[in-house]
Amino acid sequence: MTSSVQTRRRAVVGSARWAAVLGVSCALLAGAPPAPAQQPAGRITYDSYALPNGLTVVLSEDHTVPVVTVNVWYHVGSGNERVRRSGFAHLFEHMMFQGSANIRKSEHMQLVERAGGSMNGSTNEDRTNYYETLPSNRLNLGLWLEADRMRSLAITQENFENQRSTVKEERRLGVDNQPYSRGFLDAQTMPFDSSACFAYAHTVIGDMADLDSARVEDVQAFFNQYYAPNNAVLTIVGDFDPAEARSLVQQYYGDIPRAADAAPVRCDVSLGTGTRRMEMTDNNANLPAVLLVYKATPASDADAAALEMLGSILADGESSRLNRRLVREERAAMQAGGFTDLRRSAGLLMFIAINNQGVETSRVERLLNEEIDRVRNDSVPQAELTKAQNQYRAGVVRQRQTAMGVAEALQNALWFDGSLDAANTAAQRRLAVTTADLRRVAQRFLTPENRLTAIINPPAPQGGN
Amino acid sequence: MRQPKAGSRKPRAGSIATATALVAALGALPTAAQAQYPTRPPAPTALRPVRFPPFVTTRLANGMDLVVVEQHKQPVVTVTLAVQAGAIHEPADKVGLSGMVAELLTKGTESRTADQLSAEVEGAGGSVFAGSDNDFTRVSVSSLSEHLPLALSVIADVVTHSTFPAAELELARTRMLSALRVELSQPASIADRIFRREVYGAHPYGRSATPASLQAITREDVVSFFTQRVKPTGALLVVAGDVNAARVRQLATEAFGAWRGTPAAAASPPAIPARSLTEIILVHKPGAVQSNILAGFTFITPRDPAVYPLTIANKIVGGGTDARLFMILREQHGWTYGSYSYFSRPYGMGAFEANAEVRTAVTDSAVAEMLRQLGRIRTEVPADSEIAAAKNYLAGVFPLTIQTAQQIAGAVANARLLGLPDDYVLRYRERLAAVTTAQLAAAAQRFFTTDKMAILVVGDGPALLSKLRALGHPVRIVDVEGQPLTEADLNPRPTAVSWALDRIVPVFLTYRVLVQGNPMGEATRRLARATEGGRAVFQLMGSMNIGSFVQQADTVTIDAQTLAPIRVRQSGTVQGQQAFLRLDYEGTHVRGQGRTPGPQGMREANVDTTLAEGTLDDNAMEALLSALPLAASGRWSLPMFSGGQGTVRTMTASVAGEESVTVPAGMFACWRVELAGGEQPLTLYVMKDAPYVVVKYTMAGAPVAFELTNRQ
Repeated sequence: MTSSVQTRRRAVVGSARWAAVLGVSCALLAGAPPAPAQQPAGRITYDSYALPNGLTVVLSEDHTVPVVTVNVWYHVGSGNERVRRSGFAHLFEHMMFQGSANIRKSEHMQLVERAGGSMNGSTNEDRTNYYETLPSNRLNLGLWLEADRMRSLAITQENFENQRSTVKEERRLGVDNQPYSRGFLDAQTMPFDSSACFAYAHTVIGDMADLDSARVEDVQAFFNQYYAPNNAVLTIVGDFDPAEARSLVQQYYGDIPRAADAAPVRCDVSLGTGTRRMEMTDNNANLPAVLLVYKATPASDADAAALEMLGSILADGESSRLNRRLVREERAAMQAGGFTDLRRSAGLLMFIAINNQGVETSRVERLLNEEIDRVRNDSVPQAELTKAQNQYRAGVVRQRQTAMGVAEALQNALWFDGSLDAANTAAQRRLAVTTADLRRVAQRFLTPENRLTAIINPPAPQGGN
Repeated sequence: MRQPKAGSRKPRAGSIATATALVAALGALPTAAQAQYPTRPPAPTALRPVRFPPFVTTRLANGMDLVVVEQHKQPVVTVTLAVQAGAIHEPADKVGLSGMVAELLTKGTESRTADQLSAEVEGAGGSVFAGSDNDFTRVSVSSLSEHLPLALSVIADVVTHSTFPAAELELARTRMLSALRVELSQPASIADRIFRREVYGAHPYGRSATPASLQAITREDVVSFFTQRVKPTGALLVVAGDVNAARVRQLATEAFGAWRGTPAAAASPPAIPARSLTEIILVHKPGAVQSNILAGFTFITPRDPAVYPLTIANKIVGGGTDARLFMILREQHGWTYGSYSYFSRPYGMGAFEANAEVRTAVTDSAVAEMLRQLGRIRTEVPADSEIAAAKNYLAGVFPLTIQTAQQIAGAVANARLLGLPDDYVLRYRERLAAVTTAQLAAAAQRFFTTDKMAILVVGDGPALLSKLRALGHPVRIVDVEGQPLTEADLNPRPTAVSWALDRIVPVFLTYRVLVQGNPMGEATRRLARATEGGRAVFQLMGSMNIGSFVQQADTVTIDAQTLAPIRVRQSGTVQGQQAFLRLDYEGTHVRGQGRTPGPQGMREANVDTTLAEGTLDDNAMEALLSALPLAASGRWSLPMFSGGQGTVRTMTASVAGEESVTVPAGMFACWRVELAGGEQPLTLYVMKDAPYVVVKYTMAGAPVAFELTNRQ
């Protein structure tokens, strides 16, 4: 029995994050968990500098294993998209593998695999990341692959049309054909007002009509603006020689010209603007589901740590409040959980329950609301907070055992928490949360006036043979 | 496009001074002449050494081996206990027992319930895992290193004081049966099960759990297996992470000190049968739109020194997207999304397999090509460049698999359990690099026994049989459970039915539609006699209304003597979308158009085809069922045309029993008829007495039922 994934802040396109968070069966808390030790997790040491063209470079050495990660964050996400031009950031996640001046289509993946490495990329509302983990004697390959596509990505009509089709297929399989995906995405975008925060009022995967009406010139312009060194952070972690790394970075990236600074993302969010409700039918769902969505602050807010701990207590793992009450005790839900998603400009907390067969949706909704009310009205016992803190710390420590994990931790700290050093204080900030903080943030955010309720219903059966 | 020409740098005008100033300020950038920007991937530099953390092995007084690996990068620890309890120790009629025992190890001890155990581990930010494989059962706890005493305590508790509560056994059984049901529907899993049986015969490595074997497991079986096999002698405890070896030894002795015993002597497993020739086993999966191919043979044990050259050979044949199988079957021919090879490493004899999932139409070509590639590695020495690339890859990827404490614990445990030398992990790369071309050739020649292969093809039997036979190897046909089939079984001939025409009676029926037991809508059926152009016909008029989801009406006209279809008219809305179907038959020629819901959404259909004599229309199903001469053991194969999908399927109706069925319209003695061959199996209850109509029907896998509420 493994504990389910902890509260996640950054997620890939689609409903992967909720699927990972929902767990099965549960545990009743018995006995106080051990208090966290005085020393939090090990520190990450790093060095950083900037090239004249604006590229930020972060180096973090670790010679334990001969492995190195090259990790690039472009500070562009779906939040930077304009009305009627949604889906571009995510489209680029695909376009970036279609070849560049010196790399053939699909060759990027082949080169990495053949070198014994692994790679991936993802898009969210606030950033797009690309990374390779390689044997450390292939550092030059990783750096060169990222440089070549930053300087000369092949944006052609053919590549654009191919990847547009691929994105549509991805949407068809991952959203249209997956139970609860559609409702899930709607519930995350609806809390945001389209005119005040278009950034989060539309989905990362975007509107297919927007992509259909886009031209390759628009795509090129997006690339020129956002895929520029002054909008990127290159992080190298693992078993490398810093002098050699700096030399390679200069050789490969030094002459890529910068772009004009991008317009900042605008996102005005007011909390507690009123209770909202939506109901929808999902062709692929078998059972009804109830979602409660609350607006929240960005990741850099002082209340972020407390909010994450509260979200974890409510929704993470077999011994979470929601799982214990709705799944085990009341047997009203087949699964119950949720996640906290604090982004750069604003955040959300979402709680989900999938009805058990034959259970009324109104009952499931009532139970969810009762558990939310409890954390607002009553103090959470210290033992539950300690558990959430222990799980957070364990997650941080596990992540940082790999070069990739360290790279992501540094990138995340810089872009979402405001500084590289925040990576070394993240655990402390969670350990400093008190039960009084939990109650305070519950009362600030988990109120009916700040809540959107979404009900997803399965369809009735289709006609017989 | 914003790209400078390769090799030249064009700083923007006006920024040269700024750039120079910045460079001077930073001072860290090299001042030597800049190298050119490469236009091809830069070559690898020298491999950097692997420094595997040191580890200490001791044997405790109770016979357990303890291995401690110190790695102090992060304050984590993984504790893994492995015992000699696996599939190889299961009784032949209780396959799945070792997995069941492993599952139950974390579900309750004398001092902890399942919930308490998981709460305790989760509360410390940790995770616990228990599982079994062919040879061993492993229990593992990963946590922050400060919780090492808890991790040891939990594992010691489960292996010495597990209670196997009956309720948890039933829950585990239900979970395993559900998982097995899913597995049995997946062609890749079907292929794997039958492949292992073909390769290993009666040897335990060739067995797989079945619903029957899982149902047969009793609590006594679980307790007996646990008592006999989960013992410290021969067990291995690996502790890896931010720990101190001496302290671990002390804590482990305290935690496990009272644990004593030796596993019962295990009977020698049956010998693996020797195969004498290459054979194709065609696994017929009705409705398959693609084929799953698995080709292979028994290979080596993990202790055989040939493992190094064979690892390189496997990489060349199918170990990635640059390997031969992928490059040829996918990149060159476009037959598959991916084709790979792999060999297993249980304690005993492993097996090699090459695999691919391909379209039905190219299955024979793909099989032929796979055989060609496997033959090639056996008889042809690979190019130096291919061998070098494979070696580089294997040496390079290895450190990525030993980054975390958990990975390190796993690597050390596996090496020791498989009986490999203590320096296996440390010298792995070195031994791979030392393999010579001659050694590679010799090993491939000896172990790639391509003249005695089992080739599994799971797919559409009728479409594949003759083409596979043409490949020149004997072909044997089985069903998805591995039971033998004949060629005739692949093409069930339509049964000549003596229709009981007097059972088709004019009637008006009303049904209610239940979803998850809740009434959601209504359907009606009216059957009337009529005459058209001098011909006696039956008119079947139906309607369905389910809230705002489905509103549909249809009329089907069939010949009153032969029940052959004449006309279908269907229209309505499904989920707010217009759907319709119009078919006209002239003898066996059918023409028409439609837009109907299917498994992948709305489907447009244009129909203009000639059907075989005796083909029926599936819209007349219920009337046809009434007219079957139902009796205690009837079974009929009926070819049915589905206009919406444009396919002919052979549906098989069989009488599975007699039941008294109660529905709102009353209580009726019925035949229970199972209808197979469509997307989902249907169960229909047909009245034994007039008017011989369907009283109720249900669909497998969907919470939908139709029940008769009224008849006139």
